[in-house]
Amino acid sequence: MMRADRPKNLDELRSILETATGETRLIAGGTDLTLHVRSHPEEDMHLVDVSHLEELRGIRVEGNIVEIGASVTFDILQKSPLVRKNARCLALAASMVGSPQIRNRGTIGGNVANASAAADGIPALCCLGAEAVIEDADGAQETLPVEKIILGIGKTAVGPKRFLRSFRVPLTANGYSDFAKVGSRKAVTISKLNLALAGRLDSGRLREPRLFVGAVSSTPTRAREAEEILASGDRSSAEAFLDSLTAMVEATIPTRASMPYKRQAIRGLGDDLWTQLVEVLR
Amino acid sequence: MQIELTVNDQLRTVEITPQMRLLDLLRDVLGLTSVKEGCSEGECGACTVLMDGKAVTSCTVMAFQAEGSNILTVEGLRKRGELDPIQQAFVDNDAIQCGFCTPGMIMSTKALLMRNPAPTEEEARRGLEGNLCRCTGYLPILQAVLDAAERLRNDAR
Repeated sequence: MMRADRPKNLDELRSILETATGETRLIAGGTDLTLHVRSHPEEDMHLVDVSHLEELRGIRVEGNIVEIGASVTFDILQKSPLVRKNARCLALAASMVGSPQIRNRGTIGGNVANASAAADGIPALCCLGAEAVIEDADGAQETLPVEKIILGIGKTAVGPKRFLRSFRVPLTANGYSDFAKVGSRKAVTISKLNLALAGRLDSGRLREPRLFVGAVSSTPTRAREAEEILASGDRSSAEAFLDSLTAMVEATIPTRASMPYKRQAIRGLGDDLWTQLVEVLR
Repeated sequence: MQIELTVNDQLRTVEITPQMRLLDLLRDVLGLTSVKEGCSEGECGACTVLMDGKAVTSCTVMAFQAEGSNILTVEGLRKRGELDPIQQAFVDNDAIQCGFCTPGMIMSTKALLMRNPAPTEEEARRGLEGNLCRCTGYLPILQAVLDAAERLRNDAR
């Protein structure tokens, strides 16, 4: 049996969540969830639409944080001056998700909640050090780093009686970020591999770099060795950087059929990020 | 359940089920057969309509989510018995072979030109990247988009 609800505001959403069960599914853009509905006609579901809730659709700066509502669409993210300036890798990732039609509906909250291994929004949020604000039926909030709430494919720490409210991205003076993805097509393609990088530019180097690889493991993986090479500022270590990424793929998915492809393809993405960074540091 | 929404400038009250998609509402309930079901997955763009001015694949929007929204389909483009310049440009540029992708292509074109009245070819390609065509090889479609843009700019003068 299928039920559908369209709460008019957060109060009504919280009311609905008070009695939520495992059947309750929040739907925003629905570009993934509607397919699940179609392929599981026997599954009992209670769909609750959150796509239109104004409280979840804002982007604003508060102190040294950019707060992005969970129902903000990829189209808005790619165009938002605040996001392009302060969370560039997220704007880039958003611009590379799906098609215009998908970007007009798909939301950053949905991307996180769906927790696909190939998600583009998740590694971008992770490398920015973003936190997810999760709220429950009583209005109590829990704020956690995004990488901590992704538990596996399709699994997050949000739970049936809570909802993703927003993502808080720390503003960094001289912040820098970048994103690259590769898929089977030039556009409108799910990532076979993606890379998200963020850090701070200072004295000709990228400080405190955070580099996340997506679509290799079931959750985005941090490439710490590659980060160290970046942080060293040694312009001659491009090959070492790429080798480190290759080694990471080999170590993470040694028996995966796509490993020979991915360990090579990641060098192309790494090269893109490296070249762009060198260009900016000049 | 009943919802109210505006479709092609008309306020409609429609009986829907929770499982229905906007595609089913438009095509099966309202008889707007310009809205085609291609892949059922939001990947081919054949079911593209404008929802509150934005191109969306109606197969990935649940019908109940469209309550209160403003929907435009190809049927809503024709004014006073005349084809919209976008439709006419598609006809004049041989951008239609089997016609199945055409409504979706036209609605994506409409969305593109609403935002960007003078797209470059690259921008036109990007605007239509969510619409697949198996017949034309896309070139006449791109020509039609750029031609439509020019016609609309001329009309505006």
